[in-house]
Amino acid sequence: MTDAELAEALKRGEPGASEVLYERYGPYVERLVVRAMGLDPEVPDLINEVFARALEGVRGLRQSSALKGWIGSVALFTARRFLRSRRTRRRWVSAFSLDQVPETAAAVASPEVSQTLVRTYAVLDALPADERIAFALRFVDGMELHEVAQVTRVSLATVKRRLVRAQRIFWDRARQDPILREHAPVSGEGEPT
Amino acid sequence: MSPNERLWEAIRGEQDRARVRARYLAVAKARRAIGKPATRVRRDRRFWWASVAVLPAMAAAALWVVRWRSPAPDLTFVEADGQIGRVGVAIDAPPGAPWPLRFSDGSLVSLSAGAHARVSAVDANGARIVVDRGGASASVVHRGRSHWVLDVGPFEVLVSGTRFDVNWDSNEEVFRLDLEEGSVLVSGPCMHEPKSVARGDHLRVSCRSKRESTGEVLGRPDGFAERMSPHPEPGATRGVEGGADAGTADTTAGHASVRAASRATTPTASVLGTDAWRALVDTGRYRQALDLVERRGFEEQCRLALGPDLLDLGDVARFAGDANRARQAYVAARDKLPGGGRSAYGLGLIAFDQERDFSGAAQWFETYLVEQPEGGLRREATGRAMEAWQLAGAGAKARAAAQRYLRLYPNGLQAPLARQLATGF
Repeated sequence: MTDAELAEALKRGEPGASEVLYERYGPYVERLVVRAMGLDPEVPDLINEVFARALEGVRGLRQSSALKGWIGSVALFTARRFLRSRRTRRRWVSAFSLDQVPETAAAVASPEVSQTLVRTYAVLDALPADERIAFALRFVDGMELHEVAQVTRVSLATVKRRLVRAQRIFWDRARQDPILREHAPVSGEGEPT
Repeated sequence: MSPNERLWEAIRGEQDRARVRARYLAVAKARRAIGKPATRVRRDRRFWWASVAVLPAMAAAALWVVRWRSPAPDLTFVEADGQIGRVGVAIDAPPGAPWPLRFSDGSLVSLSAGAHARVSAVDANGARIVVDRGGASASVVHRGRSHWVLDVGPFEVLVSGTRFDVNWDSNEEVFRLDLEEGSVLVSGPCMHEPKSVARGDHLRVSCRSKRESTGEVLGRPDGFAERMSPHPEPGATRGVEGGADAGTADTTAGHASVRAASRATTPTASVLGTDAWRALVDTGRYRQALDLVERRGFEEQCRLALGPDLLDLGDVARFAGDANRARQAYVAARDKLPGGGRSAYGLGLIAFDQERDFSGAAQWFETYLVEQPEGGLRREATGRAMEAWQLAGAGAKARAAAQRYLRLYPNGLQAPLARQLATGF
């Protein structure tokens, strides 16, 4: 079954088509969400949400053969929405509570997860969602620029702008971290996008 | 490689390892979403809701971390002659009969007569089986983390929970797959792209003529039932006597062949003794087997059936995903078997695997160890009890169970975990 056939089967609501969608693109969606979010306990819920959105919205997919790119963009849209809402929630919570509510991300800071990974995503938490996603896909995942543009559904120029801004924020903060600073490029050299 | 490239590579590697370990969570969640109306996780923004939301999030994280700390043991398998299978060792199925390989999770891969194959890798979630010549029939038990691969000739078949029949004719260069349940993804050098095969469909690929065809399976493929029918085993009668467990972990898979020899002389009014039931169980059609019992009245069948048959019924219900019916059958078996047979072990598996009630599971495994001090599932029960206590957060009990495991099975599959727990880390 090609992607186009699968998309058409999903649109018709054929039994079994949704299982095929998951079999084929479950790992891909998971990879994108994990890159964007880090090893966050919300990841399983978000993957659930991605597929719920995909099944709900597949009728709106115009180019059936573009199924992979489409579900990738659904995944990143879902992650971005969550990242934004979490930032909002944190600000809101801090305004009304004197006590520090534990961040869900901190709960995964276990001995099994390297300090580097945890600190990297702690720094990434400071970035706006769009910049964070572009940065994670380009550097953590190693995607090419055009792939980042394709899956985030923005132009190449926009991706470059986001990356420049993201790198500046990321490395400024990373240089203050005792573990991350050793990975930082020499100040002033900048980073190739 | 620059310092920051090393950083990204390290993060990527760490994430990917964690993704593999934690995949079951995502798989389980996503599968629950499939086939149901779209539902979304509610995320209320009021702070008091946020505070409450931290608790399940931390619990999920704790579960995730615990899973990292306690990897499940790799599957094991037993060959048709009762020998423990070894990874990487060539297997030549005899020319006159199929050669079943039974895995410790209940999956069954039956090599066709004359097939040449090997199990090239196993882990906790599945196995990779290379079939160089001939074919195989498979009944793979579906679990959230299942990952099975069959390399059949030059083709790769990715499997989750499913039943299928596959064959590679190296003379004609024809690949054939008939899928009865589930779905698989097939890829190979003669195919334009990987092809997903759905329930009830077949796939034929001729590498010589570069042609592919798919369609509905019409009837059972030749020899399917014969291949799926378990091979007579040495020691098969052990399970008959008094309903004690049959000595190896794979007997929990619910294949009734172990007692087949005695069936003819066992008078019973239960449907569990009929050929129809046995055929369904022997070929791994657990849902249909359970439906057959339901149609006759489940409670009534539990009343009529013999103890060993009730253990089979419990296994069948468990593999069909019906925890309640499985529990009923095992509990009924406890009244009819000396020492409960292996019913306590089955009840522990339900609590552990299907209900995630680790405290309850630990107690059932401990019960099994008390009831069956010489039972064939003793090692598995000892290890499972240790894991269950740990997952239940009972540190002292987990440590004691770990020390017991190391004392009894210092080289067992779960010895590394036991050492961690016994030393308090």
